[in-house]
Amino acid sequence: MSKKNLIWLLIIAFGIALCGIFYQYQLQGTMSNSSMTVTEIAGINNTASASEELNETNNTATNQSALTIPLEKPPFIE
Amino acid sequence: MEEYKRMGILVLAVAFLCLFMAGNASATDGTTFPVDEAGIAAYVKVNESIDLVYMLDIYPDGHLEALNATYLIGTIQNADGVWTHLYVGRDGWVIPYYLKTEPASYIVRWNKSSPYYPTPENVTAMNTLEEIISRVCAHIGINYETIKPEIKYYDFEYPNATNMTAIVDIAQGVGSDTFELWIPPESFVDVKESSWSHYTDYYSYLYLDGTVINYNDRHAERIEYGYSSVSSDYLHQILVTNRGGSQSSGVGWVLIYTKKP
Repeated sequence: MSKKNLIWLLIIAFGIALCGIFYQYQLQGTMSNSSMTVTEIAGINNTASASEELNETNNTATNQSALTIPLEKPPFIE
Repeated sequence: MEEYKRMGILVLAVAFLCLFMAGNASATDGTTFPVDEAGIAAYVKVNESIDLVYMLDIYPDGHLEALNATYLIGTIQNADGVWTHLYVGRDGWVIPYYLKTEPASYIVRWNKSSPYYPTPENVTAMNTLEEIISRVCAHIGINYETIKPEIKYYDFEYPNATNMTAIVDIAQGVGSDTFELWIPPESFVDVKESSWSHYTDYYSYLYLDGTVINYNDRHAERIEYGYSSVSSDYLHQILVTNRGGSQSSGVGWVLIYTKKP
C-alpha cells in the first residue's frame, strides 16, 4: 500500500467520522428544536367534577361516569 | 508492513475518537422532551433519579426510540393494546404521552386484557397514561399510590387548553345507552379536540346526533378510535348500542377545551 493510498484511507476514515458527528448533531438538533427542559415540571391535583364543567342532562341509564382533569402548563414553557 | 499496521491503528483511533466526541456532545445537551411531537401527556417526578440502564428493560425489543445519557424515549403497549410513548428522565421525570397525531381518547382505558367487562367506574378510575406510570413505578419498586396524587396533565398540541373531560357510557345486554352533551358558550372559549373511543365485545353502533359515526360487527372484543366535532350551544346526543346478551359496549368521549377565566 502506497502513501497515497494511506492518505486516501485517512480521508475516508475522517469522512466516516464526520458523518457520525453530523448524524449525532442532527439528531440532537432535531430534539433541541422541539424540546423543553423538564427539570422544573410541576403541577397540581388532577381531578374535578365534570358536572361543574359540562351540563350533562337526560342520562338515560346509570352506566355513565365522567372525569374532568385540569391541564397545567409546565412553568418552564414560555 | 509494520508501518501499515501502525497507520491502520491510527486511522481507527482517530475515527473512534471523533465518534466518542460526537456521542459526548449529544449526551451533555441536557434532559429534553419532544414538545413538537407530543399531544396529551401525563407527567410526574417519581424519584430524585432513575437508573436509565435498569429502565431499558421496560421497553420491548425494537421499541426504544431514543437512548441518551439523560433520558429514554420509547413505546410500550397499554392494557388496551395501544402503543404509548414513554419518556423517562435520569432526573426522575416520567412522562407517558400520545403523539399529537393520535386522538386524546387513547387515554380511555377499557382494560381489554382483563377477563372482566368494563364498568364506567373502572374505566375512569385509571386512564392509560396512569397505567404506564404505575408500570414504571412497579418496575423501579416505588409505591404507585403515593405517586398518583402528584400526576399532572398537559396537552402539548393545544397549549392554551385548560381542561380535559372524559365521559364514559356503557350499554349492557341487548339495548343501548345514551347521554346528552351541552357545552355552554358562556363558559367555554373553544373546544380544541373532540375524540372518542368505541369499545365492544360483540356488535355495536355508535351514534352522534342520530348519525352513525362508527360500528363494529366483528363479534369480537375490539376498540376503535376517532374524531367527531361538537359545538357549544347545541345539545348533542351520543348513543351506543349493544347487541350481545351478556357482553357490553361502550363509548369514551374525550374533550380538550379552553374555559373562560
